Amino acid sequence: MDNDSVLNDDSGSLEHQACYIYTPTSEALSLSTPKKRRAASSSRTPRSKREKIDSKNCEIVGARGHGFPTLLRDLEDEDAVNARYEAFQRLWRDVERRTDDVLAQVNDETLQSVSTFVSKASQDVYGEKLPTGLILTGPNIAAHGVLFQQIETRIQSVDKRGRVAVLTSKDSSNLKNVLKKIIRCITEIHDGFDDEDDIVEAKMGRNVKPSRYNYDPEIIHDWCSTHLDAKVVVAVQDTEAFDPAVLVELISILHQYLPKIPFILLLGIATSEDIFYEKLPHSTIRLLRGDRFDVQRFEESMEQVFEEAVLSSQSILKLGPRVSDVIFERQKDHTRSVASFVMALKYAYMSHFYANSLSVILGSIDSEEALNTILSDAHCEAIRNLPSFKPFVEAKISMFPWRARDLITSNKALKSAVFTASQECQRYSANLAEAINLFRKLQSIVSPQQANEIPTYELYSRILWGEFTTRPAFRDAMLTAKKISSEKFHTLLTTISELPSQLSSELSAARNKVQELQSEKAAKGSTLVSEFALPDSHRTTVKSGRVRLDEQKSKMTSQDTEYHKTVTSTVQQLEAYFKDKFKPYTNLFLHEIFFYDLKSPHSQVFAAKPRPSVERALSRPGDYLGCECCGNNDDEEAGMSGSQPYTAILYQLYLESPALIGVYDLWSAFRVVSLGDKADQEVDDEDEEEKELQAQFYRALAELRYLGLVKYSKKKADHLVKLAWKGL
Amino acid sequence: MKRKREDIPPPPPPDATPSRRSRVKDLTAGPNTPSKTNGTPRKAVSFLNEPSETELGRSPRTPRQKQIDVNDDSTAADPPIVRNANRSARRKSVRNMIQRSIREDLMDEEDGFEEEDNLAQRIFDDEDAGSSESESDDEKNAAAGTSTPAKKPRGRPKKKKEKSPPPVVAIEGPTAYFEQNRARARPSSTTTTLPPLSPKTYFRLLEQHEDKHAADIEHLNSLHKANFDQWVFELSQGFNILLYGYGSKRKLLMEFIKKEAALGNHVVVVNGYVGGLTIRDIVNMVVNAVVGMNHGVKFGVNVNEMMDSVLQILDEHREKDEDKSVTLLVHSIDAAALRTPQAQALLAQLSSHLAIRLIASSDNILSSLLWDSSTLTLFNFIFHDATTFVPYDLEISAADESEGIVDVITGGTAGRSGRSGAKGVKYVLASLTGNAKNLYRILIAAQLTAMEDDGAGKDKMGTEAYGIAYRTLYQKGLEEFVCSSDLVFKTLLKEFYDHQMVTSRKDLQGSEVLWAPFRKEELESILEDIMLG
Repeated sequence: MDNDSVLNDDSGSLEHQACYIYTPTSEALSLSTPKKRRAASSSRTPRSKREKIDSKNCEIVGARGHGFPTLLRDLEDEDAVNARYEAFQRLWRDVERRTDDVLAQVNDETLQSVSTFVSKASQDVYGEKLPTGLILTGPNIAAHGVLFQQIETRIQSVDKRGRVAVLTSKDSSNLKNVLKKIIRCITEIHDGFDDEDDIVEAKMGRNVKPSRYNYDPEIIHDWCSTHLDAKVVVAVQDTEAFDPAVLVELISILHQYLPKIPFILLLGIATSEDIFYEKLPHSTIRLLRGDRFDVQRFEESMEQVFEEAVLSSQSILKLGPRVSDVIFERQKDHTRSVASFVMALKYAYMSHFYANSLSVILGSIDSEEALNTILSDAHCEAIRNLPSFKPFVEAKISMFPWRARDLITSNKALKSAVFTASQECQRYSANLAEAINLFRKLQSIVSPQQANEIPTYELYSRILWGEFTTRPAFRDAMLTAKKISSEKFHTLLTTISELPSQLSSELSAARNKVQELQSEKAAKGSTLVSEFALPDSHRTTVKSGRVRLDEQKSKMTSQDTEYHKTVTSTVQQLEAYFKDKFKPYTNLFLHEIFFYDLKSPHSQVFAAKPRPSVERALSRPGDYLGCECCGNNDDEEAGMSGSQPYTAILYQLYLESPALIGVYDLWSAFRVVSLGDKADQEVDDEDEEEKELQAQFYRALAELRYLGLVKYSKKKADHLVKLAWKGL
Repeated sequence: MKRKREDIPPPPPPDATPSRRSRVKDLTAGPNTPSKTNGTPRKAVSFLNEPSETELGRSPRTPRQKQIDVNDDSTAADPPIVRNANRSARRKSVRNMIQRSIREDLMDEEDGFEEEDNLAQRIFDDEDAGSSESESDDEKNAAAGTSTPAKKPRGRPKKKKEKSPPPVVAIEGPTAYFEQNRARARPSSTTTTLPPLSPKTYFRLLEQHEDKHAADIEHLNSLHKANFDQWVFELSQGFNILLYGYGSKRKLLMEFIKKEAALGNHVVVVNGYVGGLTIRDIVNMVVNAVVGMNHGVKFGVNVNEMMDSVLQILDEHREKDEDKSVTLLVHSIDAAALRTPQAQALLAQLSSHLAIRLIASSDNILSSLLWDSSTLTLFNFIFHDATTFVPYDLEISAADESEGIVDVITGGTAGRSGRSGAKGVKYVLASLTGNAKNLYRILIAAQLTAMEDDGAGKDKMGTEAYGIAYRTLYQKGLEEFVCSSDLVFKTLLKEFYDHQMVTSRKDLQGSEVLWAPFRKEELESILEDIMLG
């Protein structure tokens, strides 16, 4: 409570100030650090004092400055906490760098073609028309800003084709503002394009004719006279939201100045071309000529990022099936943005390293020695408490009982087992990535449609559960692999044997064989057919079908039979391979450390639920307060009682009332509930208790209003309108 | 028949009957009271005045009465059809009709019900014919109960009784929506208002009050505090934090920023609930925090341009001093002042800068609707449920005057009956012509006379019962040379309507009745003012 007094002292008058700079009192400053220590451990006071001095000296760097807690009931030592923090920093930075690289390449194709378009656009090609590039950006508006920034840097700084002015709908209030912004962007930014002399010249250019308004396009003309080859690109980021009237005027102005200034217009379109054409008058559209550019689909870029950030063997921490379901469901239904996936992934890393003391293992998997030093006795105890430890030891008992005992009694044996297990986990992940890759390739050749429909990241969780091989998607792929034509089968073998996998030698052997048979058969002027591929469409009855089948079988040559054998064995091999690799990850010892699979932080932290939360707090305050008086029992009758907070009582009365509520009615009901039996006693108006209850009622009412549950009715005096129905 | 049933008021909860006393009075007064022909409005109200006043002080119902009421039901349906049947009989019939509609099976059991239904129907038809005087009575009677079905048995578990109509079941969701929005007469008290409370008393009483849950709230608070380290970590990783849930999060956040300040970050606190806050103030303050108070940096008129230069300043700042950032603490980010899309977009832009850490609280249940996907991506929020159960004292009082607690106490803009209303009338009158003042004087003088005759207390509201007929007022105005024609008269009245100084309603005969919706005491003081002025 003493903190509160401090708080009131330093902000007493500031409560009503709209905004101010917070200046901590000296007391508050000195309080904060030791207070944290005190909370962390009361037994280590002398040590924490030393730390305080240390941290003051080195400006609180490292884990402490970032709020990493001491875990394992304070048994974790400082080094381990720091190691955990460093491991997080190192691993995440690595993932971040790789995803950034992928993301930078995602738009590369588009950028390249836009840049080429800009360089080629000239009066010779487009004549009197305004060169226009329509960039179909797709519906994810959150990514548009990044895209246009990339276009700007690409044209302006990398390819140096001219200047870019990016406009957004915010600038579209009137034509003057738009022109001002274009001029500012074109003439004033000078870094990276030209040497310093030009700045002076450009300034001189403006000084010579000082009478010009700052929205006069002639200024750009002046600028162009000093930059002969430079193109002037005007890019509109969100064309749909841009005021159409302003856009029409802008286009006509750009068109008029086209002989003097090499304008190029880029329009970002989130919807479709048709909608864009409908928005502008034909006369304006007739002024434009140009090309359209597609931006890579979300699914494709997402897939690339997923492969790099999660599947890649460089990513040591993987997502577990539950958390990836949560993340990808959110992606599919709500955000559809790669950036938000990266953030979700980052949060997974953060949560893992922040709260799991054993995550420190991930930081030193490369060297057994480092692992041995960092793992304390407390860590070992924690490892023994992992769910995966029990099956691990049990499996050992039948074969090597002494080792099982060692694992339980000796920390040293455990540490070496941890090292082996971590190698094992990494091998599993690597194999998994390899097998997934192989399967995707196979699927894309065998049934490209299905491969397009279900992206890898949606298969991922099923594969981790180990149930993927029983899924129709898997069986379909295997069956069709048998049935496809021999040419296709040959391409399939060629493609997948090139991928690095333990099957590659077998696969290339099979490929050679198929090729051999194919050329033999081709010499006879026909193609290879396996039994699986026999046409069965004109089968009429079972009997006639069988007859036909026999006929065709008899037609099959020895090459065909040979080929059939190859197909059968190859597909069997593949199936066995996948079944081996797609084992459930839960079989692994230490999988809790290498796979982050907590559902709850992600499902809560990325989606606010203000309304359910308020509704729950007010209708069942006991859930939050945990007090005995407010019906903490679970039965339905828990409802209203006088002991609940006043706002909660009022809220529950509110729930039961009709759409239009009389304030007085609400008050009398409120009074009865809060007073209980006492409500029947006669009271006079001046009764203090009654007045106090009234004050509480007023406050509760004002709170409900503040929360957005009621408002005053305009129809009737002293009546409230209900704005929200619970559960609706 | 069918249509009628839908029009029936909702099942009055068993205990929704008026006090025993009023009921008795009612019955005794029965034969000669609210008859349409001779019952002057004043008289009709008079006998109900008293119970309505006592209602203020004490609960109108006791369990014992309920018992009797319910027993009465069975006998209430006796045939004698009196034209002005008393209200209690009507109410009982209503209850019977409803009970039956709830338990349909009863319909076929007895023919007697048919007859009873007819009786009830006839009474209802009479009522529907438009006896407004008894309507208002009724509202008063029903005031405490009918519209607030809150008195479910579970509220007071001891008072269960054997023979009761099916209890009102708590319904939720869509069912509740349709149930509660059904277009039918829902009696609610229009005439009784809450006794006002002066702001001074209000704050004093709340100050005195000791929360019975103080310990639990403190415990809840400590749970949130345990997460402070985590929040610091999340902020440091480029996420911004938004707290939601019931209860003021001000204190919690102020506690939290001590930690942020201890890390050497600049902290800018924004009180979103303060009216008149603009996004410019926030941006300015951020710049102040970074480069000091007297930076002399000038910003363009356009807020967007301003933002660009601010982001540049922040970039420079970050290059110089990478570890230090500005923590922006926004209390109630969904408050009225920040509710514009532009403000939110700019805040999002600001918060997406690496040197800015934003931690904010939101209170409104619909706060999520403030952001579209692109602002939300910029905000990069981590949401935490921080239900504190701390009263929103500051937020509700500091808000815009018309939204705040003072308004609730005095009755609000819609509740023009409060003290502030009377005060406002004086201002309006001061700016009106002498004729208008005189007309208003005539109106309230007539109303006061009526109230005086009635023996109304000083807190008694002006109602239709005390009103003056339109024609009468016009005649009086002509006599006193206040107005010369109907047109002038109407123009004068228009002014009163606009300022809600006068209310009118067509009475039974179709003639308009006007009255001033203020309490007697207030009327007296207004009259005094006019006479003196």
